[in-house]
Amino acid sequence: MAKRTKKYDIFIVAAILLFAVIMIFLNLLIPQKGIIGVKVTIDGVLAVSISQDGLYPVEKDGKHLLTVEFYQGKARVKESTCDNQICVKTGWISNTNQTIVCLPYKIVVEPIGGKNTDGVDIITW
Amino acid sequence: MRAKDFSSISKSTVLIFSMLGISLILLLFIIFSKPLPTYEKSEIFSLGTYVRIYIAGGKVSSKSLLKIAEKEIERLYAKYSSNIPSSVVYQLNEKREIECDEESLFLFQAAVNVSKITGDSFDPTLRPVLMLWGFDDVNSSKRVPSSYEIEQVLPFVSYKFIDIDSKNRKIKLLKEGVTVDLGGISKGFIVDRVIDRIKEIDPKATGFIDAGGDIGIIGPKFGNRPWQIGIRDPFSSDPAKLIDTLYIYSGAVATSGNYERYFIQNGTLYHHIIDPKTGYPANNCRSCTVISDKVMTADAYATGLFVLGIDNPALEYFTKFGVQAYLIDNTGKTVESSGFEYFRNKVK
Ligand SMILES: [Zn+2]
Repeated sequence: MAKRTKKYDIFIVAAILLFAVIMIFLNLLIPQKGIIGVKVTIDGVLAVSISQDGLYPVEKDGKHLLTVEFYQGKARVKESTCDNQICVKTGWISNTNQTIVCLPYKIVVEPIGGKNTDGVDIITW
Repeated sequence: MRAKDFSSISKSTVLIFSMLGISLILLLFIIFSKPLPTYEKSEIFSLGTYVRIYIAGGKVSSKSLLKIAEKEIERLYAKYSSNIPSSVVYQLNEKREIECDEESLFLFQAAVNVSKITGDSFDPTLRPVLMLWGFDDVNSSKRVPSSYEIEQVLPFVSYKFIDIDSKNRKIKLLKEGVTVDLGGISKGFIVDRVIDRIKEIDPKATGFIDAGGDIGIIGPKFGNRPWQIGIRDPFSSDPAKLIDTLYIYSGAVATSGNYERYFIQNGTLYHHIIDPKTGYPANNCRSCTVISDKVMTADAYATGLFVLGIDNPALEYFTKFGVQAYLIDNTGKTVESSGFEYFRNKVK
């Protein structure tokens, strides 16, 4: 009876310790999938904050500039009236270290929430 | 006897020990993972591009360092942009001869030096040619000029027409029609100056400034780790697709690529990296990444070495000037200087 109790107790201690360690590392290691939403700024000024799936037209002074699409944790510029179309060609972004920039319109589409999952801090281009 | 000893360890004792164990682990965790500095970031449209600043202050708050950096970028941009009437460059183009401060003399001299060293593959007097193509400004309309038009302006393109008199602090343009544009070097120079300024105020500050892919490191990530820098894949239209990864603790990285600014006319791609000797886009390279200790050096040589192209037998020669380069041509072939590989290793 005594021996049994001992084994059982050690098992509990080990389980609790293991659980604690796992919780600590789980929090550090497991990345959140996708991004929670995006914010769109025009020259640093917030134009729209997006967290629901859908299409969001962005305009300034009554002129339509571009449309941002947010869908299942990723975002893109679906179409733009800018001349170089780099923002459209950028395609989907789904990571916090990615942004979509439209230089002609000074528009930035920037992720909110989520974790950096591909590790790179900066891109040289 | 022994069995009796064990049985005397009651359940509550076990519980206490397990709690102590957990506390110990948490305590060790807290002790060995000292609080990481928190990075504040700021993004501004300046220097003709999109600038990202990441700073964690050592003794000064990250937020105030960001403010200082932003102000300094704007101030220096206004000082050296060729499109702003009060700038040193605009004044020189108008007045043909100006008196200026040490800083401007240094920048002009640096531009001329890169021109000399690269055999005029980089040239601060390229402006008339860039204007013909419409590459002088993001909003200029782009077109392919006739060969006649290019022939007409090429005689005005040479760094040799810039006379720098450092003794009397004077810069002079020696030929009528010559105009200067420091765009290929001032962006990097400004980032360097801003980083110097931040380090003056807070030597323990860390972070980076990314000016449209030209990157200057303020200090290692969290004080002791390298920044992980991806090199954009020049064959993909997705700017987040990478072809290589570098690990950098300090210094600078810059890339020139034919995808940055270009237009397509009759199925042909014309990009903004113009060979000063021909007046046409340089086509023997697709992307050129340079690592150096200064962003100015990386920025200017990324352009100069791009123009010299992948078949440059003297690539190794440039390492004498603190330049490590990695070039990719239109077929995907790559060439690099001997010291470039070092920066691919995470552990040094
Ligand atoms: Zn755009």
